[in-house]
Amino acid sequence: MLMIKCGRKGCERKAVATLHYMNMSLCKKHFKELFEKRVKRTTREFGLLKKNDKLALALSGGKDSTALLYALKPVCDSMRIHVEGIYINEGTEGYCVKKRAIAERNCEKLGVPLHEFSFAEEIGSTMDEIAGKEARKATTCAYCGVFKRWIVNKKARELGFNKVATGHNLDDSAQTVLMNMMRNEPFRLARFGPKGGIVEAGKFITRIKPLFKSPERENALYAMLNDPGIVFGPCKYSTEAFRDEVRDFLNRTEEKHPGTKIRIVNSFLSIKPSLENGFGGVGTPGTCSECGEPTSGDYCKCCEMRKELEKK
Amino acid sequence: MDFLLRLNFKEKKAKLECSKCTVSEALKKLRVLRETVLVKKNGKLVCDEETLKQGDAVEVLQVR
Repeated sequence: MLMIKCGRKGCERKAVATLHYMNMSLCKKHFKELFEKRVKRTTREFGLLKKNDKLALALSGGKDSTALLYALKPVCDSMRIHVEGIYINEGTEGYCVKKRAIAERNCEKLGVPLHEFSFAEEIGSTMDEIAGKEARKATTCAYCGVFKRWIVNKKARELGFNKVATGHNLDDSAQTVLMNMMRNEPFRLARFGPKGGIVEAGKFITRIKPLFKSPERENALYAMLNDPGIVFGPCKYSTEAFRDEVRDFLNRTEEKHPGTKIRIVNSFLSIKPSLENGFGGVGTPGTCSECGEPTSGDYCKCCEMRKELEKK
Repeated sequence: MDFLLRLNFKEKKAKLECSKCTVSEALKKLRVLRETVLVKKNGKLVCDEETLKQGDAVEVLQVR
C-alpha cells in the first residue's frame, strides 16, 4: 500500500501533518521539531523570556495550553526559568472535569507544579450559575474571559511570578488583527502583540504569547502527539458572533490561499511600530477602588461585571 | 465510504459516494474546512494526502 512519506530529505517515516503553506508533509518527529523550533524562535524574536524569569503558564487543559506546556518547558529549562502552571476552574459542569484532568496529568508528566483556583472562590459564582442569571449566551461568554484574566493576574502576582504565558495561537492573532481593523480600533491594535499586559509596571503581570505564530490546527496536532488522550471542543458557553464569522472567513481563505493567516500577522507586525507611535499612549493605570487591581477607570472590568451579576 | 465526524463533542456518521479518495478530497466533499480538523484513519493521525478507502475507520476531529 502506498504510504505518504515525510517531506524531509532522507526521511522514510510516515507523514502525519500537512503544512500547506510550506507545501510539505512531515512525520511525527520532524513536525514536532519544526513546532518546537518555531516556539523557540518566537520567544527569541520578541524577547518574551529572560534568564531567571519566574513564569506561570495559564493552563486550561485545552489543545493550545497543552501545546504551550510541552513546547515551552524545554525552552525554559535551557534558560533556567522556573515554570509552574495555573489552572482556573470556571465551574462548567462536565467540561471542567475533563480539562482539569488533562492539565493535571500533563503537568505531572513534565514535573510542573500546578496551582488551581476557581470562579466559585475568587468571584463568588461558577459559570453555570452565571449562565443561569444571564439569558444571552454571548454575554455569558464575555464574563469568563474577564474573570479569568483577573484571577490569573492577581494569583500570578501573589505567587511571585513576573510573567504569564498564554496559549493564544496564530488563528487568534490573525482574527484579532482583522477584527480591530474592521472595527477601526487602532488603539487596541497598537496594544496588541505577542507581549502584552499594557504596561510593564505596577500590578500588571506581563503576558506573553509564545504560540503567536503557531496555527491552531498545528497546536491541536502537537498536543495530540504528546497526549493522545486530549479532547477537543469549545466550552458550551463559548460564542463570539463576530469572531466566529472572521474565523470562518480566515479558514476558508487559508484553504484557498495557504499562508494567509501568517501573512496577515506578519503585515501587522511590520506596521506595529508605526501604530505604537501614533496610537500607543495608554498612560499608567490606576487601581480599582473595589479590589485594588490595576485599571484605567475607577473600577476594573471584573468588579463592574460582578456588580452587574449581583443585580440580576 | 463511512465516516465518523466528531464535531463539538457530538458524534455524527457520514457517508461518501466514493470507494477511494484522499483526506483533502473527502473533507471537501463533506464540506468540512481542513483547517478546522484533524483526521484519524484506523485510529492513527494521517496527513491530508493520505488515501482513504472503503473499510477504513475514519474519524474527523474538530480542533476548536
